[in-house]
Amino acid sequence: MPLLIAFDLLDRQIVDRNDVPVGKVDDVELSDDGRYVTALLTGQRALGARFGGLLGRWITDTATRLDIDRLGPRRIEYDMVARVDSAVHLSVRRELLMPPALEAWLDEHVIGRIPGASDAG
Amino acid sequence: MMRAAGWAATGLVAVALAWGGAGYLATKPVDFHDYRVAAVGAAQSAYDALATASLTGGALLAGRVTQPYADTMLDDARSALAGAAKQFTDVAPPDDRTEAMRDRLGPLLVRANAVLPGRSSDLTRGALDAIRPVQAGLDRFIEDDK
Amino acid sequence: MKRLLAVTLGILTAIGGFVDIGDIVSTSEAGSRFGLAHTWVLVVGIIGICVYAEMSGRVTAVSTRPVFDLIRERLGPRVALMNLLGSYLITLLTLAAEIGGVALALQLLSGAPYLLWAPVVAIVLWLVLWRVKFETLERAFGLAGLALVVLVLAIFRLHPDVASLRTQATTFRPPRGENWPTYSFMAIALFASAMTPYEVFFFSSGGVEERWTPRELTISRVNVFLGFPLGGLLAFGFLATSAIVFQPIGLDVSSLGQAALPAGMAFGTVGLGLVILGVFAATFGAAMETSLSAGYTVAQYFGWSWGKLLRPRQAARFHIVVLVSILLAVAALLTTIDPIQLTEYMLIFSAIVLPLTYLPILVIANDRGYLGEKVNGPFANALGLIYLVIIVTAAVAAVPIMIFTGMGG
Repeated sequence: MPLLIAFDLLDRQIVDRNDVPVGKVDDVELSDDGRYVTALLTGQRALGARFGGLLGRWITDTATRLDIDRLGPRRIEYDMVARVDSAVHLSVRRELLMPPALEAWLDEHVIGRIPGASDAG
Repeated sequence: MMRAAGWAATGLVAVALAWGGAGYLATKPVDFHDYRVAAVGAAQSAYDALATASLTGGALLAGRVTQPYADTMLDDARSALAGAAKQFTDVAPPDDRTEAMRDRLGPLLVRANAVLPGRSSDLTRGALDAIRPVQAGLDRFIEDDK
Repeated sequence: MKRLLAVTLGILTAIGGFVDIGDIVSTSEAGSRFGLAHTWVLVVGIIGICVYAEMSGRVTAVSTRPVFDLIRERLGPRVALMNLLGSYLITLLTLAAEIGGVALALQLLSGAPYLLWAPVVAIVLWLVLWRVKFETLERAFGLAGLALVVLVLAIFRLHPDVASLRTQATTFRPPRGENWPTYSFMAIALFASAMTPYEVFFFSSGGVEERWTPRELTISRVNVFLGFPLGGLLAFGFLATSAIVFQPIGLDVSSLGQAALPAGMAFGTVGLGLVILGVFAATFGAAMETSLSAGYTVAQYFGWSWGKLLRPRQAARFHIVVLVSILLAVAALLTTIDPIQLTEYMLIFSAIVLPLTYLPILVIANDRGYLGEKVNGPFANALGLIYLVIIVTAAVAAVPIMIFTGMGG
C-alpha cells in the first residue's frame, strides 16, 4: 500500500499553504523497511537520480555544482504534507522550506537587482 | 554503459550516412533538369521583383501607398533580383540545350537589373513602362521552360 | 451589463489575437501561388485548434491546473521531457519569427531596416512583459489586431471575379503551374500555422492566471468557438487578397510588404496603415504569448513558481527563462536569416512536433482524475482522434515533402 502511494505521489505538483508552487515530487524517500514515505525529494538532484543514465547524471552534476553550501537534494519531511489531491498541499509556507539553490541564486544575483522585481502584475 | 555506447555508435553511423548523402547530392554533376529548375527559379524571382515594382509603382503614383513603404518594397525587390542573378550564375550549363537557355535568360536578367528603379522617387510612368516588356519576357521564359 | 462587456472584450481579444506571423506568411504565400485552393485547409486547421483549445480550457477550468503541468504527472518525466524539449525549441523558433514580423512591420512603416528594429523590439518586449499588467497587454494588442479586418473588407473593394474564386475554393487540386508535392507542402504549413503549440499552452496558463473555475467553462468555450473562427476569418483575408491580386499575374508572395499591398490598393494609405498596424499588433501580441509560453512550459515541467501575477522575485527562474528565450530568439534573427524564411522553417518543424503536443492533451482530457464528469464525451473524443490522425499524417509527411520540394520550391 505505501509503495502504491509513493508512485501516486511521484511527479505531482507540490504547493505550499498559499497554493504557491514549491516544486514537483521528483523522488520520494522511504523508511528503512520501505513501508512508509518519510520525505518528498524535489529539485534537480532528485530528478536526475530518477532519470538515471547519462542524462540523469548530467542533471545531477549541474545541480550539485550550484549547491555551494552542500545541502543535498531538497527534502520535505512528509509530516509537512497537509493533504494530497490533484496536488500535494503542504501545511507550511514556502519561505520556511529549504530554498531551491537555483532560484535563490538567481533571485539574489540577477532578478533581485532589476528594478520592479518586487511588483506583481 | 553498454547501452550508451550502442546509442553513440548508431548515432555516429547515422550522421556519417547523412553527411555522405549530403555530400553526394551537393557535388553530383548538374544535369539538364537541375539546370532548368535553377534557371526557372531565377526567372521567377526576377519576375516577382519586377512585378512587385510595377504594382508598387502603380499604387504610389495613384497615391495609395506611402514613400517609406515603396522604398522598402524596392529594396526587397532589388535583393530578390540579386539573389536571382546569383542563383543563375552559380550553375554552369552542362549541354547545348541549357546553353541556349542561358543565352535567353542572361540578357533578360541584365535588362531587369537595368529597369528596376533604385528609390521610390524613380518610380515614374516612364520607369513603369520600361519594366513591362522585361517582365513579359521573363514571363514567357518561365512559361516556355517550366 | 458589465459582464457582457467583459465577455465581448474577451471574444474581440481572441479574434484579434488569433493571427500571428505564421498565419500571415502561409496564407499570403498560399493565396498568391494556389489561389483559394487551400481554403479547406484553413477551415480544417481552425476546427482543429478549436477542438483542442476547448479541451485545454476545460482541463484548466475544472482542474485549475495548466495542461502542461499535468503532462508530466500523467505521462512521466521522460515523455514530458521530450515534449518539453520539442515544444520549447519550436516556441523559441516561433518567438524569433514573431519578433522578426514586428521588425518587418516597423520597417514598412519607417523605412529603417528590420535588423535595426529587432533588438529594439526585443528590449521593448521584455520591458512590457516585466512592467505592464497582463490583462492590459492582452486587451490592447488583441483589439489592435482587429485592424486586420481591413483585408476582409478589401476583398469586396477589389471587385474580384466571385465565380472564379468559388471554383478555386472548391477545387481540391493544385492549380496550373503547381504540382501535388508543392500543394501538400503548403497545406502542411497552413495547417501547422493554425495549430501552433504555444497557443494551447498559453490559453491554458492564461486560464490559471485568471483563476478559472468550472464556472468559467462557458466563457472559455465562447472565446474558443467564436473567437478563433472569426480570427481565422482575418487570416483568410490574407489568403483571399493575395489570391485576388497576385495569383492572376503569377507573383509569388515572399515578403510582408507584398502581403500588405492589397489593402493599400483597395483603401489607399489608410488601408495600408491599418493592415500594417494589424500585423504589428498581431505579431507583437504573439511575441508576448510565445515568450510567456516558453517560460510556462519550462516552469510547469519543473514545478517552479511561474506567472505574471506573482512578484518576479518569487518566480525568478520563470522570468529568467523568459528573458533568455527572448535573447536567444533575437540572436537567431541577428544571423540575418530572412524572417519570412525563418517562419517557413518554423511552420514545417512545428508540423513535425505537433503530435508530441496534442496527444498528451487528448489523454489528459479523458482522465477522470482531473476532470471528473467533465471528461471528453464521445463527440469530443471522435474529433480529437480524427485530428490526431491528421496531425500525425502531417508530421510524418512534413520532412519528405520538405526535402522533395526544397522547402516548397
